[in-house]
Amino acid sequence: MSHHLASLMVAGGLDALTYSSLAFLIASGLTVVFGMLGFLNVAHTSFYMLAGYIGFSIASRTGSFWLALLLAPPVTVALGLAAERLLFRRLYAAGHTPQLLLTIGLAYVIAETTKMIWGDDSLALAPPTGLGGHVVILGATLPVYHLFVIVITMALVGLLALLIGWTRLGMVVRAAAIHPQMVDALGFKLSAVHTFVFLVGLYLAAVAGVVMAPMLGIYPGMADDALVQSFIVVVAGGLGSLPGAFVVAGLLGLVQGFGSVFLSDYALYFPFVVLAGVLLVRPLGLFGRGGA
Amino acid sequence: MVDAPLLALHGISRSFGAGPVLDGLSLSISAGERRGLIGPNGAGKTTLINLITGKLRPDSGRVLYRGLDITDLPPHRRARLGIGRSFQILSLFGEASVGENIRGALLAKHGIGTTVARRLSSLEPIFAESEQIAALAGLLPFLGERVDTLPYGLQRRLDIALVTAQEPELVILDEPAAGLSAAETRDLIDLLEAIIRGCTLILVEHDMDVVYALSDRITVLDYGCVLTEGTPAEVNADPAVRRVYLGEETG
Amino acid sequence: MTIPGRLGPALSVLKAERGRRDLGGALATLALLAAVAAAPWLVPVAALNDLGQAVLLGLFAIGFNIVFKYSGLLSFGHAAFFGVAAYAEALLLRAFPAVPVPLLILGAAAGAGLLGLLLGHVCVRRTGAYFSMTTLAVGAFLYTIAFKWHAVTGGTDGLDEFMPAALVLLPGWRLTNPSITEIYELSAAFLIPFTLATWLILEHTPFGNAVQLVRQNEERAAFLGYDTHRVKLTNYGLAAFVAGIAGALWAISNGFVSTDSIDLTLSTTVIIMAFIGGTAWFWGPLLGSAIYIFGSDRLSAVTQHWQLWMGLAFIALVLAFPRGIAGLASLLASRLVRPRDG
Repeated sequence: MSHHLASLMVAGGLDALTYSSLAFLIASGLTVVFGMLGFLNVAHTSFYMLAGYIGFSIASRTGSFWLALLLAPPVTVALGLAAERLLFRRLYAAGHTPQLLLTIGLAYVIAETTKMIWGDDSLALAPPTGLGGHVVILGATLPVYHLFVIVITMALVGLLALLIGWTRLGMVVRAAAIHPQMVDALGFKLSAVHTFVFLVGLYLAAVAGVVMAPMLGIYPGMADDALVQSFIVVVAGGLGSLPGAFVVAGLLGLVQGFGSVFLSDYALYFPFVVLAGVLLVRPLGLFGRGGA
Repeated sequence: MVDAPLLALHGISRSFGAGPVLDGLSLSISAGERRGLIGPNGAGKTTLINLITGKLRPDSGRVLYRGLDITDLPPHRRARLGIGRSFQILSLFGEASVGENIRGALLAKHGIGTTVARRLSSLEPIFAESEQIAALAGLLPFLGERVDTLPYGLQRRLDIALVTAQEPELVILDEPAAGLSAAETRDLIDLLEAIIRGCTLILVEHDMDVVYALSDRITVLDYGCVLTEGTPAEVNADPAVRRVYLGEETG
Repeated sequence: MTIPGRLGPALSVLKAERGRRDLGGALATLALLAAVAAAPWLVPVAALNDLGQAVLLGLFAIGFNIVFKYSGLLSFGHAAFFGVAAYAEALLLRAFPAVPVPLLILGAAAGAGLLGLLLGHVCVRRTGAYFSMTTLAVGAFLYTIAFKWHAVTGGTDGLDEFMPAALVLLPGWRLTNPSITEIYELSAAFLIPFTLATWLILEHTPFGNAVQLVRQNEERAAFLGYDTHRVKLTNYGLAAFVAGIAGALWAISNGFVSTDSIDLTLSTTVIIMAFIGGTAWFWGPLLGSAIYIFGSDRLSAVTQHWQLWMGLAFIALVLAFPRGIAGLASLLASRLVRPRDG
């Protein structure tokens, strides 16, 4: 009996970590760009979806998941850069309504383009050889691939933390978030820093898009699903707060991981329960400061 | 038997982050009084106004108005009880015309601010009343102008006109002369003299000419506490006040 | 201090100016509503089905724009109210086929309105992008309920076969197997009075005035004695009610309700419609939905991927004419009226 419980806990814990990892990868870019530029990019998760589809094409042409993981995110980021240069830049100072409208239009266009190229059906991508199996830990049978997702997220987040915390570039990024006027003094252009942050955020989401594919498949509604989840992370985490996003992604994972073990029928409601719970205790989100 | 004060603050404290801005402050203002509130920057004057009008809640202490505890009432309830305020940083309805601004204040005063049972254009008495107020504030020629296109001095006058339209019992003016030229300030004093007749006044102002012209008592705040209180002459002569506020070099 | 005469000169100038503006708006409004009412005689029956959809989605888009134009809040989940009323209408028709349909429509819309008041307590406390995100989350929550609660909503299958053989309009007045024209007329019979009443409330009463004052400067409005939260909340409830009327009529005109009437796609489509038509004019969204429906109809005859072109056109519109078609029209009109001002 207690063995059974232990194995459930392990399985739930792994699910929780996997889910949190993906939620954080997807939402972190959205919340940071929103916090720094006040720019809410509704098409953010459309790029995540696009990366999944591009990864699928690379993997099915070359037969290599690893090549897909290596190439699809930079290709997606390049497309994102084009969108930033051609469209977003014109509206950074325009207030949130035109920004929302523009990115809604872009999300529409990306959704339709992916349907045109890849069709309406859900596509499956096999995990790479060696990661397709299961391991048994404490009596729980765990997919190796989930462990891989957690490891790659940890690696990326760790790398990012090092980059932001310990390099000169990281210092400039931190300055841009708190004292934008200081960036010039450090010899950098603020708009270049913004572009950099925007692209890093897209890169993380794009990695999530590829990594996600062997678990849930790639399907036309995945951008919308991820958008709802990311908005919950941003609202509950508070005003463009990365720590907030981290904590809420963790909470979502916990509830999702353990909830699906015990109350799988209601799993789809859990993110809303988390949101309502957080807002009840802290109306401005976990790390929300002032404002509205 | 002394009259109960119109407004009484008991042991008000309020801090922001680092330290207290108001520290156990008590203050009482009787009906009909005209109280000037002065003190150096950061003495807590604007915080005090925000606590009286409901923009902020104190960490501790009570605010009583006509003996009624209003500490936890939201701003609109205090406005309806007869507390009106102006703003140091202009706060108007910029996309609307001068007339529409004044009309907004009048509709709220008459308790028909949110009704759907009247047509706006049928409210002739409101139009006439807003015209009178505009005339009083010297804004009649600008009645149809969009507010955010008006020069600053006229926007200041509109700020006062909105308070006038509210017909408050307690008028709180937060730096009404901020940013005005000397000539504009003289005109403003005349305007204020006319509209505060019969009201109780709390005036926060840096320009001492305005304070001396309009107040019959002055409270000096320093570091969130009352430093001293008295008639303009007494305050002017108080050495402590001259030291912390007026600055010895002016004497 | 008192001005002799009932109105001083400045004020009469102001009133005349306003009057002219009001007259132009009122004439355009009348023309638009007359076109809606007369459509069955003007439009071939084949196009009437599309027009019916356009009118209902236009009513929904007007509901969306009540919050955007008057409260300055961009709702990203307004399909919640449309969808809830559509489901409610289907269930009510199934349960009470003998009750006059107008009562059922009002009941379903009132339910959506009450839901708006309830959810608004959370949503309207936030502004800007936060309001948009919160309404999206709330909309997604209601979508999830529709998707999961199979026993009531039919889940992904949706609800059908709820239309009674004869619709009871009034006791003794039934429509047996209503035609497209009759369904259209039922829609128009609701759209015209309810939008007109809403327009009057928002443009010509102190309440509408208060909503607009709160949008411009919430803090000052509060210090003048306006209960600003209640003003915003009431307006949000009104917007939910109007969307609810559209949703209830949608259930009747389609005879089918699915998660398509409550999903995120519908919430974004209605935003697009409203902005194509122009949000600065109360009736702009109605225009926008007609342009959207007939435009997509034309496009889909040419290409399967009409949504791609619609999306691209919308992006171009946002960048070029942020005020939408109605904004463009009023700009052109003002040029025509006063060419010297250039």
